[in-house]
Amino acid sequence: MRPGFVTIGRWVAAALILGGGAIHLKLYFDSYRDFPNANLGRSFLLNAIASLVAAILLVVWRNPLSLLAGLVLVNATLLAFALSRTSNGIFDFTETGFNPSPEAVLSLVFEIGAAVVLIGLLVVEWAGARREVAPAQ
Amino acid sequence: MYAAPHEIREAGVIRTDVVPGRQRLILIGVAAVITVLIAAFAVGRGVASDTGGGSSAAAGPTSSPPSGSGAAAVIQNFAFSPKSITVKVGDAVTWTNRDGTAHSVKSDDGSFVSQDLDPGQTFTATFKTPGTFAYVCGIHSSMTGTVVVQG
Repeated sequence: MRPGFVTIGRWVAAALILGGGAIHLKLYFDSYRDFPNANLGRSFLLNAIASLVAAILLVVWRNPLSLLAGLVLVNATLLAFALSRTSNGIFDFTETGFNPSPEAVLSLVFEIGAAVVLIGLLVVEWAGARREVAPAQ
Repeated sequence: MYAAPHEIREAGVIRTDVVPGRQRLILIGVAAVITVLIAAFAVGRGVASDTGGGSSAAAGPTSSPPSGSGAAAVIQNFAFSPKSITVKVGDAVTWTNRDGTAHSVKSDDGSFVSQDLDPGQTFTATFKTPGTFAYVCGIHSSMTGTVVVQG
C-alpha cells in the first residue's frame, strides 16, 4: 500500500478516536462528573485525555505500537460501555440502551470505526513490514 | 552465508524481523478477534438493555396533570431529591430534571412512567390511592426513589 494511504489511515483513526474522546469529555461536563461514585467521572475524563494522547501518537509516531495503543484504548472504551449495560454496571453506574442519545451511538460508531481502521493499518504496516538490515553476500 | 531463522533472502537483501511475519499475522488475528467480540458485546448489551425509553408518558391511572396540592422533586447529580416523598391522596408530585443528561421516572409497578426527560423537562404524576410507590430512573437503574401516599 502506498505510504500516502497509510498516512491518511492514521489520520482517520486519530480523528475517530478523538471524536470518541470528545464525546466522553462532553458527557463529563454535562453531568457525569457529578455521579456519586467519583470514579465514573474520572474514567470519562481519563478516556478523553487518553484519546487525545492516542490520537497524537498515531499521527506523530509511525510505529505499530501506536496502532496497538489506540486499539487497546478503543477496546477498553467498548468494554466499559458494555459493562455499564449489565446488571452490575461499572463504578455503581448502570445505563440502558443507547443512552444518552445521540452520544452513545456516535461514540460506538467512532470507536468501532477506529478499530476497523486500526486493524487494517496493523495488517498493512506491521504484518507487511520488514526491516532491511544488510545486503546479502 | 548463514541466515538466521527470521531472515529472508530476497532480491539480494537480507530482511530481518524481530517477530516473524507469520507470528505477526497471528497476533493481529487474535487482536482482531478480541476486538470483534468486545464490539459485539457492547452493541449487544446496548440492544438487550434497551428498555424502550422515550415511550410517551404515563401508563398508569395515577399519572395525570396535577390537581390540587402537590410536592416537588428534582433529578440532580444522578439522584432523586428528596429520595422519599410523602404526599396525601389526590396530591401530585412533579419531578424536574436538573441534570445535564436525560433521565426518566418509572414506578416499579408500572403505575406511572415518564417519557425520557431532557434537561429542564418535568413530569407530574397524581396519586389517587394510598400506598408506597417505589420508582427508578428508567435509564439509570441505580437511581431510586419512593413516593409514600397517605390516606
